[in-house]
Amino acid sequence: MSRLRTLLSMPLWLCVAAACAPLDRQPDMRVDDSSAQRQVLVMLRVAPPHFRPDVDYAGGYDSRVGRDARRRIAEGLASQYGLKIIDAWPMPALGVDCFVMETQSTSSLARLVEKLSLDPRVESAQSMNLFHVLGYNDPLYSLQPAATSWHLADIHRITTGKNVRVAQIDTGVETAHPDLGGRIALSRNFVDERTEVAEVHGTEVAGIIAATGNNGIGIVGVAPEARLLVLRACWQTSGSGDPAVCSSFTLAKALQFALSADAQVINLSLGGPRDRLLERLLDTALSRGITVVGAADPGSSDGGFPASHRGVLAIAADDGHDVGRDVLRGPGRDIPTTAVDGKWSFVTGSSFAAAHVSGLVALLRELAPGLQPLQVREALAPQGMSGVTVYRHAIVDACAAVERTSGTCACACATARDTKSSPRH
Amino acid sequence: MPVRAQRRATRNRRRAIECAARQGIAALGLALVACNVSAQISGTANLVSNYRFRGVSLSENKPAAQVGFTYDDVQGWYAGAFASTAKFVTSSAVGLQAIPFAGYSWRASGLTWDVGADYSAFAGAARRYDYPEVFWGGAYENISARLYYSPRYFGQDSRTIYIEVNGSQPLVDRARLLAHIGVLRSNGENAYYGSREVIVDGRVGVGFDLDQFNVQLSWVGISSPTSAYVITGVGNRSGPVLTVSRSF
Repeated sequence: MSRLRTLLSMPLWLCVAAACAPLDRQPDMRVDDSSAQRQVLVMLRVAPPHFRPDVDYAGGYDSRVGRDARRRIAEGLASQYGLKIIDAWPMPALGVDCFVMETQSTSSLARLVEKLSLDPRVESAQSMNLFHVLGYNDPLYSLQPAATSWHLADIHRITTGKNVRVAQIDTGVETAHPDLGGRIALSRNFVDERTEVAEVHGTEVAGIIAATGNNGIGIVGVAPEARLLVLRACWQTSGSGDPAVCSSFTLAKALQFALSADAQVINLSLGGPRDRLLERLLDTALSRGITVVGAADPGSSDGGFPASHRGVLAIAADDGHDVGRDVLRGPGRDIPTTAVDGKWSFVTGSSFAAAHVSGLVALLRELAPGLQPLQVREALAPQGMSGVTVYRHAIVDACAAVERTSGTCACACATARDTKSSPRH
Repeated sequence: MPVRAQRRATRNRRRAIECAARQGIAALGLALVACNVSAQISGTANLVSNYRFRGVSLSENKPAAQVGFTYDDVQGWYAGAFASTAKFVTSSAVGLQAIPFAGYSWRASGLTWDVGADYSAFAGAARRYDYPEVFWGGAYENISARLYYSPRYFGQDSRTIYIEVNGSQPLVDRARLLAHIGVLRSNGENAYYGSREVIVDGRVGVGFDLDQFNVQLSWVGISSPTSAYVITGVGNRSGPVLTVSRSF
């Protein structure tokens, strides 16, 4: 009996030990341009789970078994190519572990990536790219455009995005903001080891997507009952006028988390160069029926990456900037939203137009949980009679999208009927 | 043909299959090790409070030490070996179970699939308890299922099928819930002493990652407490099992 009691008391001791042991320390992954130019991402294959008599429950990816073997290979690569291992992260959605390595010299980075890509131990390799959030503060009018143009109050009578999981991959969010109370399902930091980081851009985007309604303060989000997954992959830079920055690695970690957390919508209010690792993760997300919303970069002819990636909903602000084909427009001028330090401010930019559409997609996903990305696109921008897509430069009409998805007239019924075959301008 | 001659022919055929399986596993393992510089070798060393193989103790309900390694080829081929101390009815000394195995696994449409073969050999007991197995399985995220077929499970004159489903659910960063259920069905002679034709075993527990170590505490249950492998002759009831593993 004493042996049995000893064994039964083990869970308690194990829990205490696990709770008291230091967490795996995540290195600070904030990089500037010069650091990014010296870093490469090296992907090593992870064998599919298979029969192993020495490991119970081999179905799960989270087992440590095999990770040490890949670490040894990474160390061998680092030694051979004169690199230093900075960090590593599992990417089960792609069947790889991603290692960040740094070289001392930037002159031959392209050659180094080429050499690594050809090494049989390496699944793929690429340089580290930097991305920037798309928007800027511009206090102008005390109005919330979507309240009128999207008839939010009418739409919220039939859908509020209840329990739809929206992953916001951005800078940190002030989770204690009074207008975001109860809306944030979880918060993760993929940049450094801090637990709560209140930053400007993320807090603004979060308010537009899901600020609490009917609480007597501030604004109401487009999807006020959605569950926000706040994934910090970008960080504010020290310069006051500089946009926040993200890297290939931090974005990849956040995308992987969104996949494993069964997000239904992913909001990416950011832009940068094409990135092979991120493209693969986005393709995986789209193949799983996740709607990905990307802010179109007004400085890029095709909307930039990830907005221009096939399957991603590219959203620009309705601010008169010329945008590439296949880009939809959403409210993005003088938007009141949540700000850090428990305040509110006005913002302008495609980041916030994308946030509006992410909230709208959450509304549609509540009405039709199985809605696939192509169906979402069709609801937001229907095809013309000739079969040619007519959504070029179309302004997203929330009422029409809700009616197309639910068959229910949420606003003035004429609105939806009038816009079934052509966009409104 | 007389019944005795028929049995002899069947036995000879099975032995030929077993021999081929042993040689095949060994040849595949050697070929993989010899020809691939990009493959990965990983392993574990385990201490268990009771080695319960498919719910039934192979260690006389006493602690056991285990070690295993696996070689994963870049194409999906794999091979490895596992060894555990055990306690057999035929000897008072510590026995050993060794399981060489090989197979092929691949990903398709979000699932992973796995086919292969293994061979259980027992040192310290008669070779007649040795047996081969083939298996086929699939996994999706944190759930896996596998079906095993053995023509002579633990050397008994019966064909046996074992089906298992395993799952794990992360609880917090380094802890997860583990669950397993398995069903063993044999035709002809019983695979166990004192057992029915169908035996169900289950396991539920929690696992923690602590630096390089993994600690699991599980509760193992079986539908027939009197079940015992012929090679051990010792039955067991449902109870806890503690496992401490070090991966390398």
